[in-house]
Amino acid sequence: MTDSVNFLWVLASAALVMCMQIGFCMLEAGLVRSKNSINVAIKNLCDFCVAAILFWVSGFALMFGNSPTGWVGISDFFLESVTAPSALVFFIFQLMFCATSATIVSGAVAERMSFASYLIVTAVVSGLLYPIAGGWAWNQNGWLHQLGFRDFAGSTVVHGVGGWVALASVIILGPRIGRFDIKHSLASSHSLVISTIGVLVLFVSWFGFNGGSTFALTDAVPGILLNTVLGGAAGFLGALVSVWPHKKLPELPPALNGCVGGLVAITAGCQAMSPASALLVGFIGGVLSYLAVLALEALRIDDVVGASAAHGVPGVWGTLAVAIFGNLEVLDTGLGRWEQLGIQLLGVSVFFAWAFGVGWAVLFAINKLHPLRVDADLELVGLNVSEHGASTEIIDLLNEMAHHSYKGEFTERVSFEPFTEVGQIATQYNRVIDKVVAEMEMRESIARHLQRARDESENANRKIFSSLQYARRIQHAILPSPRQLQETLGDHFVLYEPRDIVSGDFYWCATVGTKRFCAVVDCTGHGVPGAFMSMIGYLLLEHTIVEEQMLEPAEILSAIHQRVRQALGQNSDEGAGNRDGMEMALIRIDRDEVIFAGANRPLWWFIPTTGEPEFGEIGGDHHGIGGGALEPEMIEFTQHRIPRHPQLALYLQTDGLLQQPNHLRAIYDRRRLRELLSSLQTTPISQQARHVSASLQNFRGGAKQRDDITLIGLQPFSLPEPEVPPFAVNGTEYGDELFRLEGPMTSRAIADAGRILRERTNLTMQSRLALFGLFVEMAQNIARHSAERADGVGVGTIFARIEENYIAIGASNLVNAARAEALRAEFDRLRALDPAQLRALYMERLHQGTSEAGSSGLGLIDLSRKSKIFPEISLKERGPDKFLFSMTVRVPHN
Amino acid sequence: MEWLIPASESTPQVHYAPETGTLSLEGESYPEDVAEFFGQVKRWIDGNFQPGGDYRVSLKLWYLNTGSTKSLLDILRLLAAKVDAGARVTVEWHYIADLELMREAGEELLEGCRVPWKIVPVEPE
Repeated sequence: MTDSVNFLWVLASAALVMCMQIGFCMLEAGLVRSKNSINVAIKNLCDFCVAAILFWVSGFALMFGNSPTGWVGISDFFLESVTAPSALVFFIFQLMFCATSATIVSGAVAERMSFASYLIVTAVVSGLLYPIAGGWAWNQNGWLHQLGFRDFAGSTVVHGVGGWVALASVIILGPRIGRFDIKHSLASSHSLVISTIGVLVLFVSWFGFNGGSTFALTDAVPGILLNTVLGGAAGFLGALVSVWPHKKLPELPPALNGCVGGLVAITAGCQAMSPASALLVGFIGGVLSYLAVLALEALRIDDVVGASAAHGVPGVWGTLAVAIFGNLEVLDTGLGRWEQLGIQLLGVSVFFAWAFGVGWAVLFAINKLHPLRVDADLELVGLNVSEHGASTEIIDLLNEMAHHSYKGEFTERVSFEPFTEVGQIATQYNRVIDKVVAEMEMRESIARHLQRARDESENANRKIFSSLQYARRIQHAILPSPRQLQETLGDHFVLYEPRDIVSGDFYWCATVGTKRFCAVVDCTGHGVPGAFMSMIGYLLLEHTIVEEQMLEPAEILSAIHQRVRQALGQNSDEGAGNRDGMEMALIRIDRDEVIFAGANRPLWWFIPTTGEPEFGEIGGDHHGIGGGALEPEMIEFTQHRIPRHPQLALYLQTDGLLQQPNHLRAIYDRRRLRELLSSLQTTPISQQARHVSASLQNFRGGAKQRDDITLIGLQPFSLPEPEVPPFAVNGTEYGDELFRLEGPMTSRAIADAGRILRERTNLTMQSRLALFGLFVEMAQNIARHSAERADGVGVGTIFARIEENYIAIGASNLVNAARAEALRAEFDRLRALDPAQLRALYMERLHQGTSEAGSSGLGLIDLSRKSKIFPEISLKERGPDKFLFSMTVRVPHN
Repeated sequence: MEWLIPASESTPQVHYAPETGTLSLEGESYPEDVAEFFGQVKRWIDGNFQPGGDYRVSLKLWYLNTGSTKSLLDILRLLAAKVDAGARVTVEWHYIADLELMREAGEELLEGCRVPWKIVPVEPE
């Protein structure tokens, strides 16, 4: 064939090899993350430009110049004497190879090597490393060539050098940030489509790479191209069948690498092998490239596109395969197969040592002068922006979005160009933003409305709350004070827990004469309605008991029942629908007993015994007070008596405590309260509230209080003073007291009381005189002998009351033990005497001794004989050396 | 010479009228300190009732407590001694008619008294 055809073939091949720049550019740009894609792409253009110029300056000379030693060429710098067209065609073809070798590095070091450093590395590779080593194999005087080393199109010369320099580079650079972070895998390659197209471009380019290496369109070319195709295809499949079972997926990047690996492997011996061998060599090259990727990963070497795996390792294999599968005649080295293999092994070792070893040293030195790697923050931003200020639409969009989120400003829309993918994203983003803004406005408007409504209701609540607080003060004013309770009830406790601010429960106590009253009342409803009812209840109790002096509990309940009905108009047609009312437990505490009547409320009592305390429940009548149509107009309540016992404990309660549910809807129940109170009978009654309250809280847990709760416990006979002496005749009391005098018996007090007594005109003169005499005698006894004294005057109590047949005068005071014993003895003696004997004794004592000897003995005799019935005497222990002495004398009415 | 202790809440009025020689106690008697009150009466009688003199002791006491009764007995003993010394003394116990208690009190007081005495009812005022 003519030179022209050969020129055309080789130049076309050169153009195809140049297309490898396109292929690598696409492969690498697709495999990296988008933030580095521009950087990788520009490197591929840049290294070609640098390599082209340097190869013209020195590369070609070092590689193909006159090389007397076989180590390095020394002529033809700047193509000085190279002028023949054929030589220039050769130059152009070789220039492309040089650029290819250099560009292999760019993918490996992607995403973290600075652009400037890369230019230096490119210069070193294309200006020094590649041409010098290339000369050893491809210069006719090259020492390896002389030894018989054969590498047809550059498995080792081109790809080996590029791959090993790439390996050295990535070892010095270190892995990308986050590459081997177990928790967060690095973002994927941004476009495997581009990468795949890149590999296809490389595949096509390889036609020129291998096919052009004949430097003429010879008969060998079709076979070479066939082997190339089979090698690349087998490499792809080799990697695919390796990765598929291993990763359970036909992962794309290893397969792309395998294709390149197969092409690299077949490059060295494609002119000297059978198609079947080529297929096998390519297949193994593909498998090796995947194994190399795994090895890199295991060694934590971060070769971004797997350049050393796809070029270095298959390159070694392909170069050795020349000796294994190559047609020795075609090779024409005159060597045997084993000798050839030895030379091939020597060659790849030398190239590895040179490219990796020298490459590593040079890069290490450069790294010291000028760090190869960019700063971490620049790496994170991405080299597109940090190295080139080159943005992409998507980055611009992201920046705008980031600005929005940073400012919290969503009213702005992002700007965009329509009809692009990014434009679509931006359009959609703007729609979302519009929706968000609309949504926010709607919510703000709702929130404003809610806020206004809340303000208004808070305001109203505050007013209601403060008026309820005020109502509570009023309601609390009707409740007896602790002191009043203590004076009326004796030792006691009150557990009063309104459900709301004001309560439908209330309690009440009062003393009328010697009678003490206590009521616990549960009005219908709770809260405000209950509180209104409680005021009615309070006023009716005060009116009926304190003002009208109705004293019988059953009658009191009946009266209040009618008065509630009257007050609420329940007996009339207008109030027929009204069913309000109250339940009430009412007790009256007398000297020797407690009288109880109940409207739907019971009275509980305990008396301590040696074992379990005695317990009793007196149910009230099954009628409420008021109640409208629910109750008859008139109710006769039942009255119950509980005799005196010094340790009697009484409990009055509303039903709020017993009906209180817990979260399981069980109620507190009477048994629980009864057992608790029973266990508390050895606890002072004033401390029992605490235990009941704790038990209730414990039981209630998180459940809400259902109703007002009131529980009063009292020991009605615990009051030490005033002790009222007996003045009952046959257990019956009659009428009112004539008078009562309590306190220190000063002469002034005695005189005043005496005058009142004498002025009672409904008595006969005789009775008045008799009463007066007895009164003075008793009062002066107290003044002289009471153990309790105020300003030197004895303290005690005297009263007089009219009974059926007699007027009784009672006196009581504290005395010491000796006096008590003397009194007991004296009265025992006197009791045995009849009236005549008493008079005789009186006369005897009267004339005995002087007045200075004292007259108390005489006084007692006088009282005894003047009392129509022998005086009732009692002496009760009230403490150490302290007795309460009481006596009652009686005179006839007239 | 005339002598007067006005009545108090708990002590009777004491009055001596020299022209008739009458010492009268009228009112109620239940003083806090019996000895002090009757002591002064006793001392006065002791100093003023002379042998040979004519004296009348008029008692009109609605109420006497036991202490006062005992003190009055002391005074009666003193009067008896004055009689023994030559004075002429009579004691009159006035009681309001129908007021048995007041009469009985006088009887018990004067029972066994060595001074001449009489119990005289008076009309209620």
